[in-house]
Amino acid sequence: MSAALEDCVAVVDDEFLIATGLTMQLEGLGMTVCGTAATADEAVALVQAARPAIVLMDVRLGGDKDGIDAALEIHDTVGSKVIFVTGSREAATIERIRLDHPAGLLFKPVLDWQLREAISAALAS
Amino acid sequence: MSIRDWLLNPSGLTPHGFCLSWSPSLISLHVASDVIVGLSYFSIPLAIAHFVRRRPDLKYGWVAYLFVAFILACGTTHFMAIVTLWVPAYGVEGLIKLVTAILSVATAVLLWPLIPKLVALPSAAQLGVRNQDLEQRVAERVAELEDLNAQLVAALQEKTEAQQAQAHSDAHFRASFASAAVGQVHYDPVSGRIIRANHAYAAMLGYEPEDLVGRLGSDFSYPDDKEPTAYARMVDGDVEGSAREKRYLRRDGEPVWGRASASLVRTPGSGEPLLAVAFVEDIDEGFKAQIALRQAKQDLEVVDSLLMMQARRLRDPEAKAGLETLRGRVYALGLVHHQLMGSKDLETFDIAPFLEELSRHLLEGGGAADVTLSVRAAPLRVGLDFAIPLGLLVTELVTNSMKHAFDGGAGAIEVALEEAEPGQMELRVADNGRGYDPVLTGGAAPSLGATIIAGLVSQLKGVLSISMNGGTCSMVRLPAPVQP
Repeated sequence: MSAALEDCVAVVDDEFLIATGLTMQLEGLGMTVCGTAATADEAVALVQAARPAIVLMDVRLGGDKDGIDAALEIHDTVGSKVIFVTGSREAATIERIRLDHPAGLLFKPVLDWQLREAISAALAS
Repeated sequence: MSIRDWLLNPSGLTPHGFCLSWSPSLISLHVASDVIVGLSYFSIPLAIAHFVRRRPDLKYGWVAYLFVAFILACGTTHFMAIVTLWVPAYGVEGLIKLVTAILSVATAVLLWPLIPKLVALPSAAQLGVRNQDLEQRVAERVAELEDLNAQLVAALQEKTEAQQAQAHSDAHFRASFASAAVGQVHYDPVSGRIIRANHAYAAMLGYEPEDLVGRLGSDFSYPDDKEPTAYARMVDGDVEGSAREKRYLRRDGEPVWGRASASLVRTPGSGEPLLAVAFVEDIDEGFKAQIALRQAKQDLEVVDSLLMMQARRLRDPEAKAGLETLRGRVYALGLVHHQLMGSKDLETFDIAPFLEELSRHLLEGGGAADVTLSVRAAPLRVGLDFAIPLGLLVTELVTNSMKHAFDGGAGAIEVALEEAEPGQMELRVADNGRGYDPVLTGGAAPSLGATIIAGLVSQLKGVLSISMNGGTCSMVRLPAPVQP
């Protein structure tokens, strides 16, 4: 959190086509995507290397850690704002996300304007 | 002169009576006095000797025997004085006096140095005080002991009560552990072996509880779902406990889904793991349904993503718009799955928030910034077979209004689903736009949208009526879904 973060977005989703779709949406909104990751460990490595200001984080990821685990580690090591993007509406999952103090929460599929608003709100917080 | 003469009759001496002129009164006075003194002097040492013998604990008892000897000797001199009244045995008398003198000197000499020692001996009064002191101390000590005893008895009582309470709570624990509907397992945190498991847990895996004791907990994890890191993080203290859905391995080799929440009991103080406790809820049936729903929803998300990417690549505005309309339809399908995933029974959900969310998404996705929306729907639990056609129908009608009613200007759309009469619902989608025929939006031939609307209304066994009075209002009368 000491050093300034880059003006870009990292996309984390284990579904390649969804990660690609989100990347296109972000680029369509004029933002730079610094990379995509499919697992929690990849996500942490990507964020630590690229230091993006914003991370779009899927909750369910391949591997034994999920997006919430990755978000905690990112919060502790880099300090990027993490916006969760979930397809799930299960109360337990949503509660876990809320406890993690996310910078935002979006449900799939995400509209352009929802993405834009969530990112500007996260940057302003 | 012989010794005998010297002892009994030194030559020429007269008996002592002669000196008293044999006066009967004087003689009898001397004799009587000497007898009394002599007898007394014999009696006193006997009494002393007797006393000393009876009290062997007396210190310096030998002094008393010295006194005994000395007084006996004195007594003897008095008897000798009587004898010498008639017999001039002055030799014997002198010798007896010599013995008496030696004993007297010895007694006198030995007595002086003895006095400080005798003084140092405690007196009876002192002994009395000391005795009293002792008695008091004994009394105090006894009181203390009684007090301690009372405390001990109380402590024992307390301990017994605590043990009883413990036994009670152990019994409660065992009963609630054994009969709980939710599976419970206790593991040794070091070896990972099962210490005890309840019936619910064993039954979930197809075993009896006693079959599981001593087995490794990981033996019952489905091979793909073993998660050593989660447990290690808990032991390291990174996380308080872990909660997740995972597959367990049943006796017949089949996987069964459980929701496990695990925690560690630690030794107070050292914090060493003492016991690993897990609650495992059998969620197999619901979870498989949930996974199927999640998979279906995720597939629709991928389809949406593909459509979105494809639409971005297209140059032809009509084709682009066609794909966006298709995205709206896919969204309606996805939203139904989304609602089901959030519902308890995974089969029904409330239609009201669904309609609200669906309409709002269509409006916001359509980019009509100046169009307002109001949704009015009575709470109604619906299943998949009702929600999908109804959702698609609302999607078509709202999309039509946005496309055709306002020409990019301002306006309002109203969606309502209410009970018209018992068993009959009425869906109404109305706008205050320029008025258009939803069936003939594409020109002379019915559009795809119109075909879909007609098909869905018929699937719902409904009747569509359209009025164009200051806008377009589509009304569908349809039978209410059968309540589960």
